[in-house]
Amino acid sequence: MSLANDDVRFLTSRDLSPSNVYRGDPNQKFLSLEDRESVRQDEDEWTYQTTLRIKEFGLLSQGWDSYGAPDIGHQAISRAIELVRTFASLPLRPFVAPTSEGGVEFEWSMGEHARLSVDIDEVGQIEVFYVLPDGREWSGSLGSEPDDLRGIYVELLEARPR
Amino acid sequence: MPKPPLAEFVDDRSLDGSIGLLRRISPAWVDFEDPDGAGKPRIRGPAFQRHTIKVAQQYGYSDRCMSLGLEEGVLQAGGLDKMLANWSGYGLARVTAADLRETSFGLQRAPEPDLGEPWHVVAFALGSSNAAKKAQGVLAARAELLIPPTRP
Repeated sequence: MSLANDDVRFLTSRDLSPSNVYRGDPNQKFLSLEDRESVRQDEDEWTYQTTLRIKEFGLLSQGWDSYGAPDIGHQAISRAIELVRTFASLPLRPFVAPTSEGGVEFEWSMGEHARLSVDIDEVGQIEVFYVLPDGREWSGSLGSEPDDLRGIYVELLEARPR
Repeated sequence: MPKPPLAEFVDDRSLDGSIGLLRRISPAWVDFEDPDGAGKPRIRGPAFQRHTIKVAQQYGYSDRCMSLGLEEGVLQAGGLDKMLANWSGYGLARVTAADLRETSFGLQRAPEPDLGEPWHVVAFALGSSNAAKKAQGVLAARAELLIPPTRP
């Protein structure tokens, strides 16, 4: 399958800005039963499970990674939950993990040399990193990237093993 | 009491490329939904992050670095489980010194007997922060998951 940029309805810096995505409650660490039902009713299973997973990152206490990592910042969790709905529309959804820096990372990886990550630090700031099979690589704050992230994503998908 | 900072990391070339280095793997760092060819959960890039500078300094290091275990030392101490003694549910992955050097890391022995880790080694970045980010994906792809973490 070949994808064009127009097929990827996401990943412009504007799409990922806080004003364009769902606003979570930064003070809420757990999903209540009511919340869970609410999410389940209007989202697909991936969105539900991923939101739940990110909420559970809030349970991780200092040192959780076995190497002294800080706990995961509430703002990082909130921002990550916001992004889940944005990423839910993608043909290939990311893996999400807590980071040793107290943040949350969304990762798309296609082997050693094709990787895109969206890192949210402990205060909710977003950094993007990508490396592509042709050797292009970049990291920096969201919004300052030299390439259209939609194009980067399409190139990453095309690097998938067939 | 924090130890005095190391003056400078020095790449220990006596740790030759074939030497095995072990990394504890949190269950949060593997994808149970996307197993590898051997049916094991797939290790993802966040498994190979460095300490923050704050944590590194608390451990007495002068800069960011990643903690690993010297495989030979762990085995001499009684086996792989020794490295997971206080970390039930965590996994253990193996990379080689060559994998780390090829991704712009230097290696230094840093025994931590007081923490029960006489086999402790640190990997420190010789390149840019970009290189360290790039290394995460490479190391995750190359790592051998010796003991899978337990699914939560």
